[in-house]
Amino acid sequence: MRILTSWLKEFVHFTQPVETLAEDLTMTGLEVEEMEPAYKGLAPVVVCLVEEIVPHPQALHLQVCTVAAGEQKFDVVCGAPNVEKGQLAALARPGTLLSDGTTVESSDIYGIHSDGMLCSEAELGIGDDKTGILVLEPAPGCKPGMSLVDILGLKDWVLDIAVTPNRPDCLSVLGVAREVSAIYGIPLTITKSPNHQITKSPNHQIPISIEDPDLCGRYTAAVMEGIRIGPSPHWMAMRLQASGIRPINNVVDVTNYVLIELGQPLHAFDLDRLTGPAIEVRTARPGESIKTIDGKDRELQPDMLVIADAERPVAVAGVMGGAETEVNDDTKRILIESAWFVPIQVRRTSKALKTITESSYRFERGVDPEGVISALYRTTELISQVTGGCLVGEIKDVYPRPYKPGYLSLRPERANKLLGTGIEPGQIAQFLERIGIELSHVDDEEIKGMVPTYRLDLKEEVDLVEEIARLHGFPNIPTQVPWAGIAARAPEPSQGLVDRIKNILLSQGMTDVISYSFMSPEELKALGLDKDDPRLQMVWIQNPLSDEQSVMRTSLIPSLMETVARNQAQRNMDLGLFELGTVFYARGTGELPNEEQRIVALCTGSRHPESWSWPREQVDLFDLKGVLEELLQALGISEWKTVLETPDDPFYLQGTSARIVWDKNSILGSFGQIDPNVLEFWDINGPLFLFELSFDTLEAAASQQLKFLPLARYPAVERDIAIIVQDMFSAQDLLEYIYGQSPNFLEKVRIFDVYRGKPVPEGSKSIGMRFTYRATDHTLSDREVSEVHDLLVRSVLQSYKAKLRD
Amino acid sequence: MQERLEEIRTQALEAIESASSEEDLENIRVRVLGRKGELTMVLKAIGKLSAEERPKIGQLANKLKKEIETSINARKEALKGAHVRTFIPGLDPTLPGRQRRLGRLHPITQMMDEICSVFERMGFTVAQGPEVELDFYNFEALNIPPDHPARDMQDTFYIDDKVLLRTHTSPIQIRAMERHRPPMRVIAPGKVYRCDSDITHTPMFHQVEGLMVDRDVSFAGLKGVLTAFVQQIFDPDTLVRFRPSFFPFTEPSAEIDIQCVICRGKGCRICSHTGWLEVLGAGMVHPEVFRHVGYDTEEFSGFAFGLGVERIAMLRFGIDDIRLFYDNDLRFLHQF
Repeated sequence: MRILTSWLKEFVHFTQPVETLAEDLTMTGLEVEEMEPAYKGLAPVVVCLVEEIVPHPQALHLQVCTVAAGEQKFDVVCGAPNVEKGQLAALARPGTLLSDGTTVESSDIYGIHSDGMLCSEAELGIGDDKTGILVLEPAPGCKPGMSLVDILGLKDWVLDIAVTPNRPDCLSVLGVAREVSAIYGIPLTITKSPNHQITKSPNHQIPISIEDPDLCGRYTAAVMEGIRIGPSPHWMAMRLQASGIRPINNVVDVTNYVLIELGQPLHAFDLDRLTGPAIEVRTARPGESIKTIDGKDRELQPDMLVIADAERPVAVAGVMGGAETEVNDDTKRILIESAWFVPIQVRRTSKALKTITESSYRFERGVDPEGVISALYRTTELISQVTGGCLVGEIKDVYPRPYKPGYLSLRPERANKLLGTGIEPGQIAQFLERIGIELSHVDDEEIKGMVPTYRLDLKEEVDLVEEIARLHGFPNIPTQVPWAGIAARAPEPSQGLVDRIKNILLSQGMTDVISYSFMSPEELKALGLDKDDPRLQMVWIQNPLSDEQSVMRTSLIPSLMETVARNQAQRNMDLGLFELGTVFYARGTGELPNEEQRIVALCTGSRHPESWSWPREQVDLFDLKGVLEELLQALGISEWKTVLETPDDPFYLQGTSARIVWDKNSILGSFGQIDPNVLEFWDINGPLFLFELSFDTLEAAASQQLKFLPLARYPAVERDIAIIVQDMFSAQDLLEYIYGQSPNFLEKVRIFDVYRGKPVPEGSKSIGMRFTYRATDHTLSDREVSEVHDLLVRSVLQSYKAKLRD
Repeated sequence: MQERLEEIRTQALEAIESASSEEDLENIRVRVLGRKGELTMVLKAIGKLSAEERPKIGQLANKLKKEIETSINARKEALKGAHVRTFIPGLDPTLPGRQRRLGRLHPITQMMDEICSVFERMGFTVAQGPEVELDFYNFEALNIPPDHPARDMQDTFYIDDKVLLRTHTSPIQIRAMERHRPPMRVIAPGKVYRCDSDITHTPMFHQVEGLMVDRDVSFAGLKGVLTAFVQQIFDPDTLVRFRPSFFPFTEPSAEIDIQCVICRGKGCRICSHTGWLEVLGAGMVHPEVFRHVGYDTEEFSGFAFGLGVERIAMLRFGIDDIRLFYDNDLRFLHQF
């Protein structure tokens, strides 16, 4: 809301400098976002002395003036009839913003250079005279070179105020003036009662009806005739422009002027174009449409409220008037509407038509139901002043259910308790009076009063507490750390686990990324999922910003692929990334989707940062799997294994992937190499390795309490063997078999070597294993170990048809 | 005699300067200052001088003795510093070491952890909730009925008529209050969504909201807690300003500004020349919210607050484009 301080001063005589006013408004709830001089565009205009005038050599009606502005002299081409040598004039230097919106530039006019222009009042936007240039009276304080804004005292300011949705009463000069009055405790200047002339004859008895008082609470109308349409006087146009409204013609401008001044939206119809003439406030009938003043044809829905004449809708109630009944240059008689529409009704219509206007904005927030009629009087007064028209007949006021003002009571003790203050009840009562509450009862226990009709936001005691708080001043409320008992509620265990997971992955060189929870369905398609894959049960956003962000992600993989691609495009080739985030699976309409947490980690590029000391090596599957194993181990999860038998996600390269299963059959996740065909969709250079884990399963698996194992007191004995087995047997098979035999003293078996190639026959591999034996109660003898070990090796060889490698 | 001293001085100092070992220096010392040293001899001969010359030459000789001793010591120190190291072929300790690559926490994760820990130290516990929410929890229970203009304050992504992407983490507070009775001190960190995208807005961002409900919670307490928070996150001297604002779920409502961290209140582009930066929204919980969760509005009062993690991180790290957080460019992430 842009408010001109000179306008504000008509309602409240504050003396504070504008900077103080802005600060005080901000600190009481009307945030002044910006403050600028109203005549900012005139900053480059200076007073000048016309020293010499010669006729323009090329153009008959033009003259070339040499003017002096302080030390400097300028040549200016001028066409004004009244320019004379020795005059003090206003020189608009390049950069000046004129009232018609153009900017002055230095330019050549018929071959003569002009350093700006000598301006008329109208051109400068400071008066109506456009017959000739502005000539200043010589005065002691008026010297060439001085700023025109200073000389004329054009010290007006525009305050741009952010009005919060609860304060529609402040969407007007009057409303802001009430605030200023409340803040400083100075009274409002009561505007003089409108001096309206009512001619009784001929008396236009135009019927007005409201179909449903639940949609329109009040409709008032005035008829005026003898209207002469023309431009508005400068003062009005200037104020409208400063408030951000484009002047159109004197009638429309007055309705806008009163809207800004009093906050009441108004509309003027060309009476001669209203059929009937009659006014009916009703809902639209099926199939009705209207062309609004912005030139748009609009289909009306039966739940929209319209103003209709005897035949058709002529305005969308509270939103916009119709083009056919709009005031135009030939208008002689008008009907002015001032009404109160139900906020929700206007809001719904405005939303449905995707049109927000100065009117709809105010109606949907709530205008003063009691301000309707005074605004109409003010409008008729101004219209008669600027158009020469006069009021005909009586103003009609259809008010089926008069507004009942609210009464509120406040307990000073309660207010002080909520605020942590000790404000005297007397002071509290004073604050309430300042905001217009008519007090009916005041004592130390309770203060009662009637809420002004424009304060629709004051509904209960706490609303008054807020008023007291802001008038008392937030800075005057003490700053106290509250007393509180010890919080004994345990934190959610998952948070601790998140931190642990992240720390483990960080220490393994993986970097935490956060990407959008949205994805594009196309990306998901690129993963090649089966038709019945749950990840295809997507949650669609009704109003996405783009197709790329039109569904909630059901997998973290697409967004991570995007991250990889974006980094590779920046030549960040060595990547170890992970994300811990939510995936969303759709359920029914109106039901919340199923939200699950996932962890995805990936690596690609070289294994180590580039260094003189080691060769550049690409990461492979086992770098990734190492990270995974370290993670599971550090979380204390031991009962897990890889499963090769079940089919894996289709985005893995066949044969590289496996599932990770915990506790026999809970699927923790999977890992593998991403299929190069999948990478191609994102233009990613592979190979790229990735694992995905379910946070919930991980949480279940990691929930076991860690138990200490006593440290070994007796030395271990190690035995190495290398066996040649067929390729089809996996390392995990072998180890499981060995542990499955539960041999005495066997502590662990480690694979220290895998070899393929000569002399190992094709289709087989050599696996080197180191067996560690240890007893808890004595030092093992060689014989004891051999007994167990030899038996174990024999059984392995037999079961796997393997041979010992020499 | 004086010439002789000058001669000793020049020779001795030259020799000290060119000495390359402690041994050399010791030799010089013996030659000049030893029992039969050059200067010692001069000193011994002083007795033979005239009464006028004696004090003068004595003084000069003693001064020279000190000067030479100092020079020898200084040179000794210098030589120690210039110790010639043992050179092992192939081992150059100045070569860069083998760094184990460490991952980095995303700056938003770091900022969020830090913010949460400030409140956790004050006894708040972390609560979580769904990111796709019911309209009821996101709006209605927070005193934002359908068709309320306050809905325009947050551009909402809708899934259907009843389901939406949460526009703030306040629904978590409602869910927490439904489950627990006061006293209540929770913070709700998490992702939130609004349909908006430019240099200062991303359609997804992070919030931390907090709620304290107890018997005597006041606006003064809110000021106390949030002032402590801001001063822990920014600077202990940061000026904080509370000014009235509007949120449907709090009354009175406040916006909290801090003195601009860039210009220190002088006014700059970042703070739109106001000297202040808005960092938090807060207020006393609206009785309507308590009614929705069945809390007695006479018995209990509370305050709630919320902040955007990205905004705090941008101010703290001097980041000027919010979108950088979600580009996840490693050159960016590895700076934190």
